[in-house]
Amino acid sequence: MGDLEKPEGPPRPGWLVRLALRWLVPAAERATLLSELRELWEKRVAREGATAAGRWYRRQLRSYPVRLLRARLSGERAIRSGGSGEGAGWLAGAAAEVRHALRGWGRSPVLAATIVLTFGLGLGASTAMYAVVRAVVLDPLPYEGGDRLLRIYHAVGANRWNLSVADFTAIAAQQTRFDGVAAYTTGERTLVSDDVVERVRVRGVTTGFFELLGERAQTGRTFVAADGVPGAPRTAVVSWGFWQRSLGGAATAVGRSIRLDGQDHVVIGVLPRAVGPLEERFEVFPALQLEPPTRKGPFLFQVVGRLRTGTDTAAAAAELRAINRRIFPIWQAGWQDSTSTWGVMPLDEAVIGRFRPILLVLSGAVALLLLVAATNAAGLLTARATQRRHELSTRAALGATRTRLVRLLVTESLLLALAGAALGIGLAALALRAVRAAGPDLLPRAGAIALDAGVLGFAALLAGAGLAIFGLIPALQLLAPRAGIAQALRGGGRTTTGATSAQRMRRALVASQFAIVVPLLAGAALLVNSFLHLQRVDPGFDRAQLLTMYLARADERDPAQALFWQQLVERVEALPGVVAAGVASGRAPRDVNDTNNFDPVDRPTPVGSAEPGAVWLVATPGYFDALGIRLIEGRMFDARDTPDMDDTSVLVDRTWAENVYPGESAIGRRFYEGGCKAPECSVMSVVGVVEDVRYLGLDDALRGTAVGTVYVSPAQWFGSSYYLFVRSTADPLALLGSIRTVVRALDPALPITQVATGDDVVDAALAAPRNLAGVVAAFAAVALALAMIGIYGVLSYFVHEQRRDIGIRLALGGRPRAVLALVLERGMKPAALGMAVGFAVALAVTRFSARLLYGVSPHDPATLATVALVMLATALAACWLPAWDAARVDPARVLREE
Amino acid sequence: MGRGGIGEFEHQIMLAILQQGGESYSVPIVLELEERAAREVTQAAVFIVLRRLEEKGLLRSRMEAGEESGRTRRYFRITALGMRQLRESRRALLRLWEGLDTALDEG
Repeated sequence: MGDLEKPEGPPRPGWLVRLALRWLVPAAERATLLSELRELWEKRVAREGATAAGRWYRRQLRSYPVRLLRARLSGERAIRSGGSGEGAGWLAGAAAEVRHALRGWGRSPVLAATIVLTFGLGLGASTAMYAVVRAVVLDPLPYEGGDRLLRIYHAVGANRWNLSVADFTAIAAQQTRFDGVAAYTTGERTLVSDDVVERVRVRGVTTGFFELLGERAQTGRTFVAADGVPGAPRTAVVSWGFWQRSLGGAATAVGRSIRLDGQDHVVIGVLPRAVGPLEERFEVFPALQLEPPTRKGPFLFQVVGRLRTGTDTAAAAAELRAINRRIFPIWQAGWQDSTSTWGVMPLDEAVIGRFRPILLVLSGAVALLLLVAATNAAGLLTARATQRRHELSTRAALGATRTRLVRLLVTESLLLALAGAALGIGLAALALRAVRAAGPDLLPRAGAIALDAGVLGFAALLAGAGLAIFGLIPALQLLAPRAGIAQALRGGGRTTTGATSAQRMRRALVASQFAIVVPLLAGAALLVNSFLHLQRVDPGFDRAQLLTMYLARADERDPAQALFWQQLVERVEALPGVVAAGVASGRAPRDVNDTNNFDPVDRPTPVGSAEPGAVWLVATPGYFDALGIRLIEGRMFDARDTPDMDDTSVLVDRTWAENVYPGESAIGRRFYEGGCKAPECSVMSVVGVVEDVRYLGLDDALRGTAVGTVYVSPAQWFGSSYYLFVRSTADPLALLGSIRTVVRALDPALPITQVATGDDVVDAALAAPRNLAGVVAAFAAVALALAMIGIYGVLSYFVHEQRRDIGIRLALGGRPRAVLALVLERGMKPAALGMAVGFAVALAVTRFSARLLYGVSPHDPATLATVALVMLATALAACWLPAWDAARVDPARVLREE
Repeated sequence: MGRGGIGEFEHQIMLAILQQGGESYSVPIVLELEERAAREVTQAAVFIVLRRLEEKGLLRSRMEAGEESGRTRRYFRITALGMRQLRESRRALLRLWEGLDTALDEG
């Protein structure tokens, strides 16, 4: 068959033909068949030309599947794959069995569809979830010896901070427990190449970074030590995607120069397409050239180390603490926090740690949904089996053996399980495609998520479990000696002895469904409640008619920078329709990444304890106007605040003032920032207090050690990238065009990114909790609906079965209300029992969602009470209809039917 | 197709083998049939029928690797049983045709 692939060969067979050949023709014959066809084709080419021969060839191939299948089904011994002639006969027999089973389901299509749909949904969700959890959480990091990779962090109290150049150089020089350590940064830079200006995600890395991770360049090389020497030509490694997109994907791209924030970098290598989680979101990796540190801060670096074989994490951590103590005296003048130290954690924990609770909650929800779906299917099948007792008894009477009946039931179940599995795998494939498309921005390692053999194996396992449930329950129930067919025959199909055990089983299923739904519904209610709390949070600024965008210039420290931003703000303010405009280095509620430690001059932090931290923003006066942030005390930034002043003027927020100077005025207070206490360091001086803004997430989740917010003015503080905030009189987006013109006139090479209205930024901060609550709530709703169907089915079947008894009871003077109560009790008892168990489970498991909740305790009584009410109402509603039916049974008619 | 006897297509294929000198493989058989029947023949059908005839014991086959082509071919030869069945069916047909030749010739 290899010769088929030569370019001058005939057309390649399509997948259907290949499938038919593979399944219907033994391997040896397959080669002969195709080689003969090719020979005929060659003769035709000579006779009629390539076009006609090609058409003939395709026609011939098209006839293969039907011909071969027909031959196989009619029992042609030659077209068989096995060694004995039994195969074809078995296949024909199985085909008949399948036809039979299909006819059986054709008689109850709604039931079959319900089971396939619910089971398929459950299986699909579980399979997709498994694929995600396995790729993101369970699989080891894709680095060689990834389990020995440790993240080294700066431990300040319970917080894990980045390290500084001073920290990293000390660790690199003194440690003995690691094969190597590497530092890296996270950021964005403006890239200029061939007239194209774009923002790229950049990870600056020390030269040992790639070697430490065991990552090699696909083209070119990674870094050598010389690349990291200050003053050496700047070099960079680029990602595969960047190489394709921006460098044309040519090998000649290596050696080219790209301009990052005004600095030329030579591209020396391209990474492979598949990279690990530390590289996946980044496009350019410039080599860091670390200058010898002059102070302890700033803390901009993440550090990773590879643990040496033969040593352990505890020993490495102890050594790091020792190094930290050793260098403490060197920086003591500017850094007095002797309690802060260094710690280590496994790198995979650092990478996926915060996704773990979300994935855990989702996995739990999905598993519960699958359980409910399976129980529901079991319930439905039990009902059907009971109904079919008569049919099967007749079959048995007509001579069908027990084996034959079991075979029929199993085939029926097999079809259900297969259809459910096919649907589920299809759904999972769709879901996974969506997750992969969202990429590493949604989840780390999203690229590694795949519907591969392992995941399909998991799906097969679930399908197998489904098959067991679908097949065994009715089969056992029918064929058990006590409730067996023989008895059904004797009882004429109306006996209630067999039915009692079925009823008991169905009630148990109802109870377990309610037990499963409670924790799911409780989790969903908590998440929804938490989301509603979050939605009501005041972000601290007026979000209406506000336009924001990000402008990032090259990181050049020249006086023209401050002038540029001043001019930009002035010109934007002058635009018609603009009420106020300003720039700031961060954007609430989430896009702030600068926190800084400080030390009040009049109440210094005691030696040996940690300095407090504050959110640090550079902002112009117009920023406060544009966002509607009110001044409480003191003054705004104004013309007095120039670089020539001795002190740097700062504004602080209400929380800062209340935390640092409780009960006193903060105005006029002075403090050191960033541990900078040398004479040449400028001291901060508070000139005003403003209202709070939520910079650390709407839920304040990122607060950490920050005790408030400090604002400095661009006139006195360097900055090259800012968010622009514009308040307009009407639709803020209508201003975008004229703002663009202003920006272009001042700096044609300045890209505008992250354009968002005030509503957009708040919405974006709400997206993740909203999605999570939405997904879990959807699961819970489906599960609740299934439980409703389950209890309804049980009761209506019970009423149907007991019509005669109910009729007699009513005829003998029983009151309809008593009948109603009887049936209701029959349904509500297992439901209540299940709910009791469910609440016990819920109390035990909802605490796992605590990290995801805002403003709601995992055991919030109001939420749990609501859940209980909803479940009771649901159960009552589902029970009411059959109970009502029962109360209206016409005794005369029932007795006539006898 | 007939269970005990020979079907029409089976018959044609066996005759084509005889035309090829008593032993042949599927390619010349397909070509022979196309030429004589003047219609397109499905290769898969020939392939299936050849093997069915072998099952019935009317043909015998052997594999042969061609030197110049490097392809392996399955050659079929008509067995004694096959020859007997062919002769029988020919005799039966001839008996049925007796006296009808002229009648049909006119048409």
